[in-house]
Amino acid sequence: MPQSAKRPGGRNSSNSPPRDFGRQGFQRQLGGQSPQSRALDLRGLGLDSYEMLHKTFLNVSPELAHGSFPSLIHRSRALCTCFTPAKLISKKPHHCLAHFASATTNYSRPFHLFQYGGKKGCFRLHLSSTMSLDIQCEQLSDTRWTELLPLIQQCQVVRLDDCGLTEVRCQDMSSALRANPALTELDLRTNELGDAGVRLVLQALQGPTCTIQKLSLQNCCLTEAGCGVLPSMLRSVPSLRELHLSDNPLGDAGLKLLCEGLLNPQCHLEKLQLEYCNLTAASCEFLASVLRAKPDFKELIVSNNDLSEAGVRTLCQGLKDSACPLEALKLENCGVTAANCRDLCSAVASKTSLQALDLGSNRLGDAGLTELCQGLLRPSFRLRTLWLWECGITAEGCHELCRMLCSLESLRELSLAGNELGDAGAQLLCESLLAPGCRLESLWVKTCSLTAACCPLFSSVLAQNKCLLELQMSSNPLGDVGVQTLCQGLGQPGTVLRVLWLGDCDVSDVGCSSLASTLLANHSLRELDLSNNRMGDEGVRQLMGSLRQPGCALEQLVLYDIYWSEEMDNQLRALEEDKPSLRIIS
Amino acid sequence: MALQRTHPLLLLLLLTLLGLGLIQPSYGQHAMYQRFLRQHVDLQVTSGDDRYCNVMMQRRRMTIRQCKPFNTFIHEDIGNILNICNTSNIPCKNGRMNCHEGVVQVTDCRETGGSSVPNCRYRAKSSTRRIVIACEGNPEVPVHMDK
Repeated sequence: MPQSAKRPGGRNSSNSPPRDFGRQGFQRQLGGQSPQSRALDLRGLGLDSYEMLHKTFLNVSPELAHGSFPSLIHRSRALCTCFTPAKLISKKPHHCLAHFASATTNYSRPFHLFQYGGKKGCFRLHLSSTMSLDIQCEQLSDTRWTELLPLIQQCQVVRLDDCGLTEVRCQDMSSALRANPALTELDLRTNELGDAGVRLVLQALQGPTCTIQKLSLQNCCLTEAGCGVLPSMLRSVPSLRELHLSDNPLGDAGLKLLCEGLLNPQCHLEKLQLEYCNLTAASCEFLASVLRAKPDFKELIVSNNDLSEAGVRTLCQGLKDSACPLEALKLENCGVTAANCRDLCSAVASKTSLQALDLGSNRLGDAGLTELCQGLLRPSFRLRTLWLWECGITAEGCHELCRMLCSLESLRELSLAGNELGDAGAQLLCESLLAPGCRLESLWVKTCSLTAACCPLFSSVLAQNKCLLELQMSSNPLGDVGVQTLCQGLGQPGTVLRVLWLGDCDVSDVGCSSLASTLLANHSLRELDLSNNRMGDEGVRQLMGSLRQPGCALEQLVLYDIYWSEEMDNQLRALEEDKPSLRIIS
Repeated sequence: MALQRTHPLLLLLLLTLLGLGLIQPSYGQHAMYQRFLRQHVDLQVTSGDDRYCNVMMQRRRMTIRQCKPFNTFIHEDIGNILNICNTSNIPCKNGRMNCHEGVVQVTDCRETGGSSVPNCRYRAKSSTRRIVIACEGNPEVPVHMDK
């Protein structure tokens, strides 16, 4: 269709939306889908003006506003088709959507714009009850920035992740933020704001009408020098509950300033993230005092700081003394030692609120693990997520773990990735998973030196266990034989597994053939990862053959780093186009 | 139905358009080559750390829906990489014979054990090492990173 120069917003009466994209068309699409993950296919909508999109969504949204439809996520590929600059009158997709968003402010269910970063004109539209601006990975031109400022002033949630923002932009943002009466969440991560930029942002949030609850300045080039503004900010914003400062070189001195602010009784922070902040043991005393002082503290993430054994001990002491209802504690790669496990046990002994514990990448060893398990096996514990990846655990340690698996009824997610469990360790785990009363939903045994020998037991687990929804077995040399064995279990009726990871498992065309048959017999599996395997076109072709069947329930197939031909590449794309419920990621 | 005489100019226009369509260069490897550039080439830096990986993996769209478990960023001129395609053929992992090897500066990004979408986290390893790439097309362009 020839391009005609039209003014932005001009009427285009010769292009009424195709009937399929009216209310009935959308309802037909939504009819067969589960409420949790609905997708609207807008491909071929052939929009020539934002007004048409506006009308389309207005037609659709009354239903969505009333129905059980928490969010509508549209696949970026399809929206790309709609919004390629060539099809837009104004040639500014962002301009169009910005107008669209502001045009709908009066609407009872405002729209959430989420731009899918990088590719021009790619957007996701979320229909939700919060007015949100969410942009990732895009260098914002000056014109674009001007268009966004009104949204920054209106939206409840503003996320500008990796958007090339600098101190200069912070000036503009400052006035917009100050004037925003509804802001609850601000995320400016991965922008080189620097100390000056951060100061501007924090000052803007100190207004009397500011209601911000969640703030992320992760990776914003905030140094120790810039932390001086934190104390005044933290005592002036009593609504703030969550603060992310990860990936900023605060150092112990910067952290001290932060803690001064946190200690103020006007500060009601509940969640704090400080990964990769160049903290050492010296910081732990300040953090401990914060924990003692804050009665509402819920989440502390200090992963990837060299706290060392002494620091961790100090932190644990603070936790022990504290009455805070801690829910999540992450100390991955902090230099936690086996000896610290006793400290951890006494620290969390009274914390029945604890739900998530991440101790990955610390050399706990089997001895430390044993100590930990004993401490965590308390009847009142509600621990739900336990991450012990790369902790130096072997099959020996699995004995204790398995005892815990069966007794800790609350445990739902367990990661043992990167531990040399071997087939012996796997056997113990499988026996626990086969025992009645095991309620584990997610098990990660990636890179655990498992071979085909443990697959018969896993196969039984897949066939019989009715709780396990996710099994992450990537980077284990299972081979085609191992995968074929797993397929036997997976092909049984009544399986419940939804997510299976078999990346880097030495799978060839032969293994793919078994998987292809299994995908037709199995009805529970929704996501399958076969990245980094050595199958070629033949294996991929067999998989596609099964995926094409309408009866195949798989929703996501991940195929990173597989070498296939250009023809196969085209066929995969075509398959994705033909089956909107299926995503193929490569 | 009355026969309509085709306007000669319109016919010429039609043929020109068709001709333009036919003379397109081999579209074949275009998509896979583009993906290779997106996933594997970064000329802005000569090496990277963990934070580099975390940012770049997101920037280059390898953290959507699922974190890409392992990825190599090549810090070389595209010319250097294209030259690798001209070296002798070696076997790829899946048996095909159109792979080539060369030594280049890279940053390898590997998912940490605790990485999980949407919090894809990586460990970086910068080095100068031998890579293996698959090349296709005429002229040959890289379409896949084999090692």
